[in-house]
Amino acid sequence: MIDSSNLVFLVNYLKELLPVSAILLVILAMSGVDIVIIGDTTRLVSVVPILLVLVLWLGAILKTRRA
Amino acid sequence: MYAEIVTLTVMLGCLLCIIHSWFYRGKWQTAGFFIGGFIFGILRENIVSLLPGMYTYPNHPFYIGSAPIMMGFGWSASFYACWMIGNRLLEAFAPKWKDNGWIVPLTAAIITATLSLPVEVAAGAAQTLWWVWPPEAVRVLYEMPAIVPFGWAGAAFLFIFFYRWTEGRKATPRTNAALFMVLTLVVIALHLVYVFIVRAIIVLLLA
Repeated sequence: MIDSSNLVFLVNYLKELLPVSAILLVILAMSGVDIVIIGDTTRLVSVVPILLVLVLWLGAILKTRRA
Repeated sequence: MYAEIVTLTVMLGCLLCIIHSWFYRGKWQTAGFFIGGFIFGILRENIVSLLPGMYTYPNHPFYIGSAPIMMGFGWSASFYACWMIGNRLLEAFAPKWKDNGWIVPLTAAIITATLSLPVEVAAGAAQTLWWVWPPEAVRVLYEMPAIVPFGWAGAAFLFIFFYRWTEGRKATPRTNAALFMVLTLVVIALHLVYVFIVRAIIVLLLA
């Protein structure tokens, strides 16, 4: 059963995801262009740094939530 | 070619950031940031189109002057998303710096530089040509010139630094938003000066 405090947390968490979704959208679109339009999968190396940032962000969310 | 892809991507990404900002920061803060970002993107790119040795934007679906309309959304969405992620990282891993006037924009700037890589690597290919760099540009990753991550980072730093400064003023959010929209002109001027200095250093070191 979902009580109101859980619901508030869920809504806040989903809102938190909005800027990350914007970045994920860019990563997906540009990776799609690299693979489908340019046809060069080696270009996917360009997404590695921002993916590492998103991994750090996930770590930050988990750390903040535990605290 | 296929510039509709990047246009729709940045417009949708910007919409997500505007919704987030509206919920968390309020309507005037949102208006200040994203209208300021629109002014920054469109005006800056029109100025760039008049300068020698810079890039050009062929084949985009919509323009305001010489600037593709996506530039009005792309810059602000990138700055905002990277700023919010940077805030989370600072809160979790360096809480004593999370409100620092220099560290917050610097963190956002570094994240923005990492975001520039996939966009620029896709944008410069012969199959896309969303923007075209001059032949003399010093290239470091496929068609991407060395200036790119520094250019994006510098823009993010200046934009967020000035935005946070105006937001912190003891005035109404509406007045602060209006002031920031005017201040974007200063941000454009400082960023162009910064880009020319960094480009000169890169040419000196790498060319």
